[in-house]
Amino acid sequence: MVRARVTYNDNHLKALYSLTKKPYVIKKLIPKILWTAVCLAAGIFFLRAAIILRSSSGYIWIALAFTFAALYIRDIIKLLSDDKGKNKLPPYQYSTELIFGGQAFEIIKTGENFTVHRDFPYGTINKAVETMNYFFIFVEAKKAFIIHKSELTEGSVPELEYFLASVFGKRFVDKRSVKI
Amino acid sequence: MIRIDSHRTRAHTRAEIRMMFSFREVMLLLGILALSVLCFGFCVYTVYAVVKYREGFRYARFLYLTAGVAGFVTAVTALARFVLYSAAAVVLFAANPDIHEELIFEDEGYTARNTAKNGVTFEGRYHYSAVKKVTTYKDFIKIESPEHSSVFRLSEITGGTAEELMAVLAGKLGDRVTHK
Repeated sequence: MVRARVTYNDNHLKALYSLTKKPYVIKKLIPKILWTAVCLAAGIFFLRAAIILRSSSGYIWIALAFTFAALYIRDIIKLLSDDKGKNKLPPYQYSTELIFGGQAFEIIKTGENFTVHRDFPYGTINKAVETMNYFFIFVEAKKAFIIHKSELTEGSVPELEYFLASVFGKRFVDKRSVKI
Repeated sequence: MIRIDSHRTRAHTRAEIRMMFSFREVMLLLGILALSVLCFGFCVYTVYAVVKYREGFRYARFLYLTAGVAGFVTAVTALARFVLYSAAAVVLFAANPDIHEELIFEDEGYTARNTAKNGVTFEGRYHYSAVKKVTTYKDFIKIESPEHSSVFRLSEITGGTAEELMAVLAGKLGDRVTHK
């Protein structure tokens, strides 16, 4: 049996985001880049036309086009420098005990005024991923329990690796070379 | 001690949706649809102008074309949001949850237990101070706590009476109870 006790903090969220961010960032980045290009092209076209025609009536369109381009560039910078994504910690404090062994993956969450016990049969778990410093247990496609390797309270990392490989088979993804 | 054996059905889901959505949310959804229709109309107008004045001033044609593309993208985005929200509501209405849940209300708190169809089990013990919100609608009651929410009917009480339960909720939860 392997146990871990985790008190989630921003480092866990950053680790999860680092693991899952590539498709999310690409999906958000493509339309932003396209719109930045359109706004810049429109601004340059209007500016060129205003210079050639010596017209002052198009300045509002030039200003609008470059303003939108600047706003999109700001969004792109924000997206690329973000390290947590949309992941957030709940507003209440709690610690989580995770237990591997038996017929199901057990979670015991203990807060100041509540206790929650969940059992996930191993067949219902989406996948498990191991990186350099963390284990991620995905109970749904986008929901994961995150365990730093130093948070094991019973058993060892090799024991947990062996257990996950034997229970999950191909659903256990080895990414130990990934520096997360 | 008040015991409830709740069998969650479509009626519970419909009541929960009714408790979640108010007039404001419905008007917001219709507003999104109206915005989409307006933007599509604007887009059609700009394309008509570009085609009608195709021999005309290139600067103005580019202006109309850019505005038309922006209108089209806004219309599609708004329509996509409207369709997604509506589809989510339809899926919720159509789903047959078929979950059996047991709730026990005691002096200091309550316990909720259920087992999902895929075998995932949940047991939560909550002190009344952990409860976030209670909403009542007709004979349905929704209780929201960290990690969990339950919807049940007063007719599903198997131990104790509805009056005792309402007295407990009013006494222990006070201003966290909302009647819809």
